[in-house]
Amino acid sequence: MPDLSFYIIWSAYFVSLYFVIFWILVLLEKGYKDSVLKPLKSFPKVSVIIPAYNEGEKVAGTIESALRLNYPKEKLEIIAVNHGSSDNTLEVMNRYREGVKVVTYGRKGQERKGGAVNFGLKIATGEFVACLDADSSIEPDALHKMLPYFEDKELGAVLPKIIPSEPKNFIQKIQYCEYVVVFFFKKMMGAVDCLYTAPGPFSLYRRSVIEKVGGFDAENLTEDMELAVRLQKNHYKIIQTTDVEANTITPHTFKDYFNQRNRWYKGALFNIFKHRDLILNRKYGDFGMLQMPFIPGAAILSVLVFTIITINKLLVPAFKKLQAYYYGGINFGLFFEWLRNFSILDLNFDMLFWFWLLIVIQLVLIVWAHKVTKKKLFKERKSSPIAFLFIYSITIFIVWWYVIFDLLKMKTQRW
Amino acid sequence: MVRASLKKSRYVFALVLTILIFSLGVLIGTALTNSRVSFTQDLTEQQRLEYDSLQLQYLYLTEFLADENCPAVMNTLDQNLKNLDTIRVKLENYLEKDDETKLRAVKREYILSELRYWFLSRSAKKICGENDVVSVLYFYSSEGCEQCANQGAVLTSLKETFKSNLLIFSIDSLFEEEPMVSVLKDSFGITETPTLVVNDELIKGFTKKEELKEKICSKYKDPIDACK
Repeated sequence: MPDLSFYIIWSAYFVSLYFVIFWILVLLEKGYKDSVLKPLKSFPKVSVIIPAYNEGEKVAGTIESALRLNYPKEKLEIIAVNHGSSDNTLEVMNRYREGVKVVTYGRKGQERKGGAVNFGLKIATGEFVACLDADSSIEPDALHKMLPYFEDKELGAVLPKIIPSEPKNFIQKIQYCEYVVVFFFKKMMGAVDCLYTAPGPFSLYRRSVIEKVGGFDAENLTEDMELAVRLQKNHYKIIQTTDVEANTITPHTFKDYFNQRNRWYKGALFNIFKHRDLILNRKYGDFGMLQMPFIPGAAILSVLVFTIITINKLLVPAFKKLQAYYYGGINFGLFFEWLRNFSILDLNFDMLFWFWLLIVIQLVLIVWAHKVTKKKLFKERKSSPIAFLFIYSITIFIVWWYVIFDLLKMKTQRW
Repeated sequence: MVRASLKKSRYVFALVLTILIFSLGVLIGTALTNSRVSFTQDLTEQQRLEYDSLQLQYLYLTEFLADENCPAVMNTLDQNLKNLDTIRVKLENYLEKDDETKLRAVKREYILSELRYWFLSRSAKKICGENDVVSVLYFYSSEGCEQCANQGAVLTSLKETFKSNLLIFSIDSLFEEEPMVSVLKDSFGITETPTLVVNDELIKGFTKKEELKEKICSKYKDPIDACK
């Protein structure tokens, strides 16, 4: 008799299949090419805020990338906010005093990156503001490509595609593939106004809009997500571009990777909870009906499914096998017997069918995403699509358990 | 400023496509079950032939009192039981994946065969003497029996040791569609699984390998090699 776990697994299959098909439909309908816009006639003032906390090693590259922006110097204001670093961040920043406004903002209470960015916002004089995380960089032509979108008065933010810079080890190569695929999904989400995060690496905002919605949430774990949700809540558009590229350094150890994800996913849950009035609210279109319920739903379902599969399909059978070996002894003859009597019908096709279906769909998405972003799947040895397929989801499951464990402990976290 | 970016048709279309792909999966599942049913049916049919042949051999034995043919008959019986067990393992495996009525019908067929062999072995033992063959009737349940897999492993291992000196008949005690199962359960007083009936002695609950080996060995009139 089918039990509860049976229904959970099948509904998970159904739901994930549904969402993948939904997004592919969106993509087929809207395409992935950026809209063709008129080049800039005038140059509005732009402020780039670079918040940094103990980023002495990386902040120089970030500042230099901002300085390389191809934009009239008098119209570009770069603000480096040293967020109470204890290392040489300030010293490094000061080296660029000529082209950069360097300010220091002390660490206050539970404040996180949002606080530092808000401080930068207070000083900023630009009509548009970009936030550039201290481990990231941006291509020189970004502003020329991004600013024309703001012709649309309802537009709140424009996002570049984010690609990890120089992945070296296995963990970074998985993340490279992940970022490419995530970009692809964000492109589809953007097409139906479902973007729920405007990441730290060079999301460009209209300053009046940030001010109108009340700035960043200073204590938020994922302030970039929270602001994006608030923009959606206030019916501002967010656009994901294909042609603008920002680079970011991804964690290179599993520990850092897990900590980063833990913060992201926990932040996501907190923010969905904070803005729960949007969930299944028709007023917010696809964002309310699809995206808001999707995030916690996917979390719950993936944790349940992975837990069930790990226990029911791996641990319990393995334990039973071991127990049988303990009582009956190991018998190699039995194995050959099994092999001799093996029929192709013995395979668990029902499960295999769905497993391979999902794998094939993911593979198509991975290849497609690499093609759209003009990234090489194998040649450059930057991306690890196969590892992404088989290992990534396991790490996500571990992270979700980690998040649940943390939430139970109600651990607070600092960046 | 209210944006109405909610296109219902896309939700519906995605749902229709999902259901279509899902139905495809279900269809494949059904096709698979059918091939499993016919596959096991074929196996059982072959088994039926083997049984008929064995029964004739047995009749020959009784008619001509040709007990020099005993070893050959007992060997065939042993071989047939082994094949039957392969079918059982496959059936249990398939039934775990889908509890199809047709598959259960095949399983009933299997249980009947198992019992036919059991009867035949009892009769054959009367003619050939009970000296060197011990029969074990093994009552297991396909569900909710923690120790059955272990008991199965113990029996498989002992079968390897005793070879044709040990005949094992496995009966799913939960299979109540077959009245014979209830009859046997009642007459042997089976209240739990695993339960073993070694010749006519009842052993309830899980029995460890060494313990069971001793028990089986005690049933042979002349100790056989495996017991020495």
